[in-house]
Amino acid sequence: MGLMMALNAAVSGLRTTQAAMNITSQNVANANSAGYTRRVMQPIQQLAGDQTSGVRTGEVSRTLNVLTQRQLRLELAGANYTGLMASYAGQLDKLFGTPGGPGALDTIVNDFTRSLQTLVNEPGSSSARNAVLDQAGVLASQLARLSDSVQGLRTEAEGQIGIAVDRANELLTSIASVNQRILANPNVNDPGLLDERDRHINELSALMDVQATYQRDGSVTLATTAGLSLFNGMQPVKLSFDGRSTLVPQSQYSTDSATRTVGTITASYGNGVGTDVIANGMIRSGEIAGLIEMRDKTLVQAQRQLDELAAGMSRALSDYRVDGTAVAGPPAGLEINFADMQPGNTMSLEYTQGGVTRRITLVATEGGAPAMIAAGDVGDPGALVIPFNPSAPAATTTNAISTAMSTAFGAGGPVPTISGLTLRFVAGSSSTVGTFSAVMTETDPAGGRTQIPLFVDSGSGNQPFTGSFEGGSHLTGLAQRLAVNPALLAERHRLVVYDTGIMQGDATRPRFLLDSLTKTTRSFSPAAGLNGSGTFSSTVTGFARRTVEFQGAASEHAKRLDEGQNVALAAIESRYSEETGVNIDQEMAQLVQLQTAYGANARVMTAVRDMMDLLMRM
Amino acid sequence: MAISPFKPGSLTRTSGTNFVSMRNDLADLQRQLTTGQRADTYGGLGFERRTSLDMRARLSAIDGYKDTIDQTTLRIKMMTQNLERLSKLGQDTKSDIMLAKFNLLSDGTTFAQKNAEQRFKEVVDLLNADLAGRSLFAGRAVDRLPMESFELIMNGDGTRDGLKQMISERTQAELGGAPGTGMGRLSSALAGSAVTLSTESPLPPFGFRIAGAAATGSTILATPPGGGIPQTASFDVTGQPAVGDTITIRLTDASNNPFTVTLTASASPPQSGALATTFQIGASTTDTAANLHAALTQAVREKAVTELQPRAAMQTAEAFFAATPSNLANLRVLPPYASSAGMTAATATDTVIWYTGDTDPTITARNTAPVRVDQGQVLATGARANEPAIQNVLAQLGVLAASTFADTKVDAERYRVTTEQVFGKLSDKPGNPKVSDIASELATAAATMKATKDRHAASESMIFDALDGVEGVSKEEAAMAIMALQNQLQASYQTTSMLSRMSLVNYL
Repeated sequence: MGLMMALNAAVSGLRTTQAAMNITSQNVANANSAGYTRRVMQPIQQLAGDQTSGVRTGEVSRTLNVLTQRQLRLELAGANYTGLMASYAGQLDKLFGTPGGPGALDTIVNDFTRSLQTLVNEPGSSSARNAVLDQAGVLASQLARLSDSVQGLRTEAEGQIGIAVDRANELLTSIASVNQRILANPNVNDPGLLDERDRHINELSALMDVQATYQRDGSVTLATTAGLSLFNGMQPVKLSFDGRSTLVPQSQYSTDSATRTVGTITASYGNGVGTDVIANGMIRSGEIAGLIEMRDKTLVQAQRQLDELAAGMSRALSDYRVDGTAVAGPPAGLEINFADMQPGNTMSLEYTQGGVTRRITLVATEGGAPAMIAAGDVGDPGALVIPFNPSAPAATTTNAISTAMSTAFGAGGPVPTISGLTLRFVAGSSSTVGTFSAVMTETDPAGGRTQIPLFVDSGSGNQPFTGSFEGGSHLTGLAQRLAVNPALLAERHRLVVYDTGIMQGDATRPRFLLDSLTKTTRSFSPAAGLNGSGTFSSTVTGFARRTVEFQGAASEHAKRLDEGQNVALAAIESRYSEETGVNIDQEMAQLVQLQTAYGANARVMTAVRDMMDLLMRM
Repeated sequence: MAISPFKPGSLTRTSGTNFVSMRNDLADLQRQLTTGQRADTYGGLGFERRTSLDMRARLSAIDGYKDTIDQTTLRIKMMTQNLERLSKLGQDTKSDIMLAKFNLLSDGTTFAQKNAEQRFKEVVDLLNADLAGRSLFAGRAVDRLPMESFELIMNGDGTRDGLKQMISERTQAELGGAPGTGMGRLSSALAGSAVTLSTESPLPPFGFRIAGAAATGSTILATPPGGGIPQTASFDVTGQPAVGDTITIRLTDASNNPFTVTLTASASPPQSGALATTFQIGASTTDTAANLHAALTQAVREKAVTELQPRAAMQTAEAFFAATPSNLANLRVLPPYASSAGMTAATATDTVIWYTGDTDPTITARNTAPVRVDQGQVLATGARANEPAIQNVLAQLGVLAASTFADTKVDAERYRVTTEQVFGKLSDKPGNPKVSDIASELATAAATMKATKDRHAASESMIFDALDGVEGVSKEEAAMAIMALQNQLQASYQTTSMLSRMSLVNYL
């Protein structure tokens, strides 16, 4: 008892202080380290029996609030998602040029219509004709450039998904290995390993919306909020991505792997069969979710808008309407000669059956069109779409039409008959024919109509775009392929002279061209998204402006969302930082305290030694 | 922007982000100040981007309208100038006719005719005018010169006949007979004491018709035509007439213009070289009848030359200039000309078609160049060289230029009739189409365009204001914002630096 005990206590004090010093020095040294949480060590008294015999080092613990950490991870995923969206939307917005600038899409459209204005006034002037064709060329190449850029962004997103998936795999592997080490020594609760594991999880949460569940044994399991299990505590999931090197407008995601032409993320465990993560919507936030949304929705829609614009430009100038001629009957009806119908051209029939108005759209095809064509893609979203093959035997065609009509609306509908190249609908047993009209595409610049195929689809042998569905919708990627009709470039007077005997100064055709773009309203597919899920009706030039506006607004919206998300993230970050970060002042204060304690303990030892000396000299 | 994983313990992350964002704001403000533009993308314009887009489209359209107006104004200016000159040429021709006498030059034309020829040539140039390759008076056929050359119009080219040949054919048809003997398709006969004048049977659409015959005194019995064909009038000299007795024969042409031939009985023979107005009373009634026959034949011949020939020239010229490729009917005389039975259609291969421009009758001349000067405002600014007013001037100058005269009393009279007709046709009379009307219609369009342009200028400045409000930034505002941001940034730097220095480390 006595002095030796005091000496022991002082020594234990020195040891403890040194240990605390060690913690403080680590804290100070790691003040800026990623994933480092402040450590604290509480000294606890050493008991010998029921007597305090000194002090010993307590458990080194991390100052961590699990709730804040969880929230931080969610906000981090959210901020990465919105950040990515804002970044891509911003790039998309930039593609459309500076307001009023020479490269802006609307300026180019305006320049084109303006060149037509001049042509209306000076139909005979070769410079006015050249200007129209030049501006049309500029417009076509601008659409192609925009389209290329949109596909460039998609390709970039595809590449980034691949990188992100690789990174996620690395992180999951690291997490698994750290987790293994933690489990190996269940009794040693090493804050360093825990920090390391958390750091990786944090990094993973930037990629996807990961949720961590900490187990009693110190292990952790990871899953996305939508239920994709990433790490079960033993083995991480293996994510793989079969990315494509270049994306084109036709590259589309599909849950059917046979038709899918872009990469998808597959999650597999061990040697098991993989699950399509994108098909099941298993990643809902984080960078990866943002990239997927961009690649498969936002950018696809932007491409569709450009395609619709290209199609509108082309067809507004080349399409003409044919109204059915009356058949006196009885039974009365209407008929149309379909000799000039091009694949993709449509005939619309409206009739009343049992007091209900029904509409059908016949889409001309040469047999290569898909069986199902969305009604919104061929004009009238409320109509029943029936493929119509003009070159098939008459009986086959009429049977197919009757069957489709009676299947959809019941028997008794109008009766179709074909004689020669004329399709006739006459009143059926419980129906009367209302209107019957067709939209056909003029393919000859000198065809005698004011309509003109000014633009052609360079991907289909420079044929005018007719809305064809042969071998898939020709609309997809049209913006990339739109070109000025080479036949017109060779015969520029055809901009004015639409028939024999038409004089060089005749403004009829130029006026039609100008009015078709600036005055005549067309309907644009709901897929372009300019009117929610409805058809958007506008002039072609109006559509161009609304597209630019749509992308501008989308960019602004994304930016605002991102700003909001960042505010939320900053708030949670600062809270987390306050809770877990190293505060140098605090550490310095601790240092002073430790220095004092060390001095005091040393002083006690000196006193004990003096007292022992005194005792020895006696 | 991907966000790096959070590093707890990195104290400066939040403030660092703040600095970066403030720096970005500052850079953006600087851009605003230099460019005067609020944003460099449509996204940055905010909610009002729609205004910007729509205004820019409107502005482009207005620019287009203004260009159109500028171009058209120039074109109309040139057209009206040419039309005014054309009108002036007609007036000058009138003055020539009024002032100059029948004074022949060596080639059988007068000064007035020489002038007319030069003027015709000038008219061809005026009407063939173009502006930057666009023919002004060809309607929609802007790539073609609307008029053939003076030479071709007048003389043809060997296969196609010109105006002179057509006038000559028509003249032969009107006068009938061998050159110098034509009586306007009439014939006279003497049988004993009776002088008979008759038309051909059937009546040709040329030459004279006989409307009546009368005589004063009691010795000559006049028998007017009875209504049958051939029309026949006769004068039977039953006794010697007294000096001063007259016979009168009333004639009309195919267009029912009346002419009268009056011969007075005279004791002396008719004056040589003068127009026939008398017949000599002979030794016997038979002699007197022979004298009357000779005088009447002479007088009718002279009447045909002085009245029918100028009218034939005028009608031919008017028909020639009214002809269009799609309407060539009744333009040529059926051969043989001197005994022609009527008119026939010309073809493009046998007759010069003087006008080669736009002839579509379904569209008015003005409407061949509709100019859109605003959304729904279309002005008609076209003109065609074959408009009736211009045709008229051409026909009159053509008649003068195509006719030649001999230095005789008869031709002096023919010249008088010719110029009188030309003068009348060039005068401002209710029925005459006027070149100045075309010019004034164009001038009205020009005035409307000017008013429209002013309106465009007003809307343009309004749009600029609106655009400025949407796209632009006020320099003052941007400068103020920069100042405020600068203060803020400086204060933040200061505070951060102070805070970073305020560490316990420094005091240990």
